Amino acid sequence: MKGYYLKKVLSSLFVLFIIISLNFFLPRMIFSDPAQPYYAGVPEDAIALREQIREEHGFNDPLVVQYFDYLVRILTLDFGESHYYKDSVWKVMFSRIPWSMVLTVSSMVISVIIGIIFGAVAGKKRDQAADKILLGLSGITTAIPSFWLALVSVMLFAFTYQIFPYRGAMTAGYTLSMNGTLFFIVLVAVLAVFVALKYILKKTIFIFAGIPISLAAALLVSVPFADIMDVAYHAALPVMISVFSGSISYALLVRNSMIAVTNEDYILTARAKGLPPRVVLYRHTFRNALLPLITNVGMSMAGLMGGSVLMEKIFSWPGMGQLLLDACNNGDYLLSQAILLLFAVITVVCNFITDLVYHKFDPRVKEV
Amino acid sequence: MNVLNIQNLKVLFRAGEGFVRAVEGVTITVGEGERVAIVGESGCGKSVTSLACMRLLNTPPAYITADALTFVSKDGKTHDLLSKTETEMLALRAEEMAMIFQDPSTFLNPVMTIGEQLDEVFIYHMKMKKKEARRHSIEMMKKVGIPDPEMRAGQYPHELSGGLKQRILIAMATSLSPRLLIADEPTTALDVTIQAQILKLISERCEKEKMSLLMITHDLGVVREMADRVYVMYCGKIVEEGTVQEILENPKHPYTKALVDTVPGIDERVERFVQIPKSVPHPMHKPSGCYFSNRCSYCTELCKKKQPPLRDIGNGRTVRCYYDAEELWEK
Repeated sequence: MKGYYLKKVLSSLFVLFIIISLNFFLPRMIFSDPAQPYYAGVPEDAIALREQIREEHGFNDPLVVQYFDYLVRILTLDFGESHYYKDSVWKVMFSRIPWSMVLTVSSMVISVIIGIIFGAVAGKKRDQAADKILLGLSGITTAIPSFWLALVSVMLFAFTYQIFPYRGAMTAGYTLSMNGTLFFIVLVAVLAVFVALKYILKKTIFIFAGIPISLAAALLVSVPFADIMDVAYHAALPVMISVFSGSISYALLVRNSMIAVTNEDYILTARAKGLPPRVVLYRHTFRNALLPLITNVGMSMAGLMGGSVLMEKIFSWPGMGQLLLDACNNGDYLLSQAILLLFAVITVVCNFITDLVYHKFDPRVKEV
Repeated sequence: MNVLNIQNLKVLFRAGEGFVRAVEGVTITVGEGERVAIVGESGCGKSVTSLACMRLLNTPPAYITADALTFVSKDGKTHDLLSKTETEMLALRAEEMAMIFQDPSTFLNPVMTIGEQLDEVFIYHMKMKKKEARRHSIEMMKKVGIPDPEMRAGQYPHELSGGLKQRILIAMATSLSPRLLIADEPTTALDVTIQAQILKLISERCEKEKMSLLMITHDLGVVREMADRVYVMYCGKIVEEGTVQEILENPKHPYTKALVDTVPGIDERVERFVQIPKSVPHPMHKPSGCYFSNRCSYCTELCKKKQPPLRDIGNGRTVRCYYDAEELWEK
């Protein structure tokens, strides 16, 4: 068991190293001169001055030296300063992450809940009304790209009918006031209660339930209600669009695996035991049918903080995706590097967590 | 008194535009404490017959009809299985009629511990609390000869060997000492050495709990060990019925004879294994006359034209063939 985790951790670290290295070399292939942004305001013919700037920022060093400098900086978590925002990369990123999470976490949670319920209802009885509706809808969501749907709904609901705002995360002129300390205290306190419950009642479910519940509680306490409503109002349209396609694809996954599991031999055993259909469905069929969903959700969890670049662009949402796009356009490569690295770390960490969680649900994985 | 009485059972499956006739008018009775075997090749409708008795076939696609399908429970009541609602059937399953399946590795839920799966029977039928149920489960595991049951109860199916898993399934099926135990090829997926142990265990359990046994198998060796009376089934019809001894030593139907002949004796050197030519016809393309006519070495024009009736030939034996065995074997 220990060996399994150790192997996972080591392989994750190796993957991270590869990503970090690519992160160094790839931008250097895209931007003709990484020093370009630093010349801002320096005339083209001031060659000596430019040379001096190059020297100062170490662009004249051999690539290998630059690479090792870069590795050292990564290891010390020093991402430097964004020359465009004139602020530390860390600060710029962390001002955006929560905004991305507002969109992605809420659409993911809603998608998964709707997906599970819809999928279970459709998969319970094949070829019934619910099943046919699901199959029809899945055809529609596959055929319509979500960015197109987003554009059309902005036109329809934000311009023609003006039900929803068309840009930004808050009404212009507003800023989110949040009591950071209170947020932190409530978060830790509620989480601690759930962890305690987990150890007292020995149910892992408390951990899974505790994370979203403590987050929600902390937010509710530390942010004024009016602000929450304002953000919710702005997030409604993009979230609905993500949920529309997301929930259908989760539902289809659950439905398909429900149908597959219903035909499994052990379901026959459960029925032959004289268990009520409800028990056969939830304890036996459903539990096995959720396994593929866990993998799927785990993989999309990686995109949570990254957010959806397209969605954020269309709705001018001040999130990470938008930030990455801007960083690339501005040649702000210290920032883009840091964002890409963050995405990579999140992906690797999420995959790792998925592995751990998965084997809670599927004991057979231990053998791997 | 018959515990299970099946009269003229027919099972159809909807398949695309048409129907597959999986079982065509089967009559089987299982007496109290009797051990009955249904023998036949794969695809003869043996399993479907047993699943129909437990009402475990999904309808649709299956359509079940019978002149009678009755079961007498422990309290002496006669139940008409076909008119029961699903809820009424729940109470009969496991408590009155239970089933053991073919492949223990696929018939146990992979994500639940052995203990949890055994507990369920007690929890949902006996309305026990978890702890009490577990105590009974462990007791059951001891009864079916599982070493260190406390440890095994916490394990998952993939951590157990095939033999142990089959023991678990037997424990599960017999934990409420049902009146009738249906065993659907319980040893097919096991090693030969384990097979004997499992068969012994099933007999022991049946004797101890006074259960009737309906054994479904294609293995005549198993039949000899486990049954008092035998039904030979072919293409959804009974072709011969009799006591074990009679059937194995004096088969009257060409199909039974062919089956008996295919069993190689261990003490004789066989040059070539005896085979029955061709294979069981597809249920949608059964021959027009006698279903066995296309594989029968004694087939006549009459056989190809018309389905022979089931003839009573005395001594509790019936056979579905136009000809007397003595005549046939002489040819």
